[in-house]
Amino acid sequence: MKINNTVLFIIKRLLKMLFTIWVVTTIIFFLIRLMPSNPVDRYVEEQMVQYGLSAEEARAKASFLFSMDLDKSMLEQYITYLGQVIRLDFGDSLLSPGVPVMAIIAERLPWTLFTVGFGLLLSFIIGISAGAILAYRRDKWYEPVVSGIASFLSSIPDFLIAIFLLILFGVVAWGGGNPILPIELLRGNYSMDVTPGFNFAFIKDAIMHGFLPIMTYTVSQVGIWVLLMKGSTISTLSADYVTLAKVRGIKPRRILSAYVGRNALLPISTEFAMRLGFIIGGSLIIEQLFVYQGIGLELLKATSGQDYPLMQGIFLIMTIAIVISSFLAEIFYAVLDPRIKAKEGN
Amino acid sequence: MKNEKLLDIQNLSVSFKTKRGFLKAVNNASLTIHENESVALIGESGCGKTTLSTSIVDILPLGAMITDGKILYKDVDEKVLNLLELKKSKLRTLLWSKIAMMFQASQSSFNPVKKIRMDFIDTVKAHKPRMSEREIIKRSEELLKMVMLDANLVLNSYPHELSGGMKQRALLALSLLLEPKLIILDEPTTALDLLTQEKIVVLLNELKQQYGFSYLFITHDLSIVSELADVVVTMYAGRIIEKSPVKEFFKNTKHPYSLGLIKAIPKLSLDHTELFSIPGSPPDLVEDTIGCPFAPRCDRRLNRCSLEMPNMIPADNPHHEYACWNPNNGD
Repeated sequence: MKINNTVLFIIKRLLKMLFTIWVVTTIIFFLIRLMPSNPVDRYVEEQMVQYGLSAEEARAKASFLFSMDLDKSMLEQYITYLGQVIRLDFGDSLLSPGVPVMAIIAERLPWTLFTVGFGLLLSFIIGISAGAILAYRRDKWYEPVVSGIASFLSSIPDFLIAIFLLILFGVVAWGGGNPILPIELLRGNYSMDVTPGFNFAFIKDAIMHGFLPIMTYTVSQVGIWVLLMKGSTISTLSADYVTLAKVRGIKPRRILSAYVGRNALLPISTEFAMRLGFIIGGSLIIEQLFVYQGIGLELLKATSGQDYPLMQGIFLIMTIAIVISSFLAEIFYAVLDPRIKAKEGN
Repeated sequence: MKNEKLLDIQNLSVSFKTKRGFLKAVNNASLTIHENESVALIGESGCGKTTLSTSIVDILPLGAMITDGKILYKDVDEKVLNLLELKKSKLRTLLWSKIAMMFQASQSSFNPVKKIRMDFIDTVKAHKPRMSEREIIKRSEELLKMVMLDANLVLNSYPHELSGGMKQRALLALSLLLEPKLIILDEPTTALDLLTQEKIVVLLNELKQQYGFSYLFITHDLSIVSELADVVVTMYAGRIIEKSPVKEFFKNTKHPYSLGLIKAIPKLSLDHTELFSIPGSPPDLVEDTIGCPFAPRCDRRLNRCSLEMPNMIPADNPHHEYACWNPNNGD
């Protein structure tokens, strides 16, 4: 009975996730195909006007590029498209012909996941600890100071923080010497002279190159975790079961981990997965600023070069990433809090 | 035979820091609980009953502070400890093993993300780290059966899977787990239906006989007081105004406020128009009052009442004390 409940819960969430991905896939298809002056029509027009191709030829070229058979009915095209999406085949890039979109994404996405994930994790750990400490010490003088800094940080847009860090670490020559980081050497994901793989030189180099983006994500996200955790911990601290745990003579460390910590983290764990998705979407500007070769920079290139298959692929991958992370968050939440499953069962 | 003093609260004062000034929630309160004695604390809401009892177990909310007084506890080796000056780590070992407490409306007293068994195991482990989980579960099952619960079901449930009455009884079992000397019960029967209330009261009386517990219980229900208490203590506006053995209290009530509380019990024979209520409401505890705080609401008020606060004086029965200038003498 209990196991059934859990399985049912996971299956329900899984179906919901697949449904969301299907809806987004469909929207992307119709956006590209059906809108007035949609990319396909514009491409055909462009080929006809600029290169003097016949309508037939232009359409044939477009079908090849977008991997759509424009002569078939809309429904047939749609079904073919869904089949391609399931195989994760988005056709070839327009800007670098012959290179599959998936290959580009597979090349870029890990770097964005690395910087965003690292930054978010770091900000989460710092913010959660600071927030919990502030909640315990909320009668101390530094509580409003730290909370003030946290809400200040959480309200600055991340690209401003990026620019500030860039100037702080890479431009200003402190004490007349060199800037702290040689930023012109830190463009890209890693230096030319290291071999990618599991070796110390490469890992160190990758971290050096990713340092500023990671710092940016950390600084821009840390404030929100401090505030969320502080609020959540304060309300948990005044809960009856925490007070009673104290009266029961349970050791303070045990109370912190089993009674306060776990319950205070509950509402925040979902937020973590949501943020992951948002920041991957927002990595566009940060990666451009630091010339970091991630998915955001690639999306920017695809947009300015009107590389529709690539854009389509990136959008879809981003959506899938967000949907999967919120799926994982829900599962995680249910594991942490038995009440979620119970509600679902009724 | 007179039992020995177990807990002796002397001149306790507790203040809350508020924006308007200090709110004196408990004002110069003295109270003694003997071994195997059950003390009932009565009075309207906001009279300091809960503040008084929570200050014993050191869980006063942020902003509250004890400004004066002592709470003396006599430990097993005849040593008298002042709970207010005890080191936190020493106090922790006394809590629950010697003094347990059940909260008012204990609906959220269990950790919502753990099964009930964990609360039982955690409690014992904090005091007797060597006791095995099997022993703990065995003892817990015995206690849960005693409070008329299906032990296996309760231990393997999450708090949200139990009804309010079940949780309250499970909490009672939890408070007996380490066989404390004193159990503080803050409105132990409020969330229960009348039949379960009756069962709990009977059970509490049995347990007292069997284990020699002392109770300090807060209640608004005077019928429970008559069934369960040995001594009744009335509080008003943060002060203790009457202390009396239970029979004497109902037979020979001295303080007009205590009398008001007794009169306010609805009786089946009366229709509701005759229901008695004390006019007015308790005073603002931030302002300093000269004289008896009950004077503005009192129907036996004298001139002296609003000028001078009466001290506790003994009645004919030396165990019966009250603080009133013009007590009720059955006239």
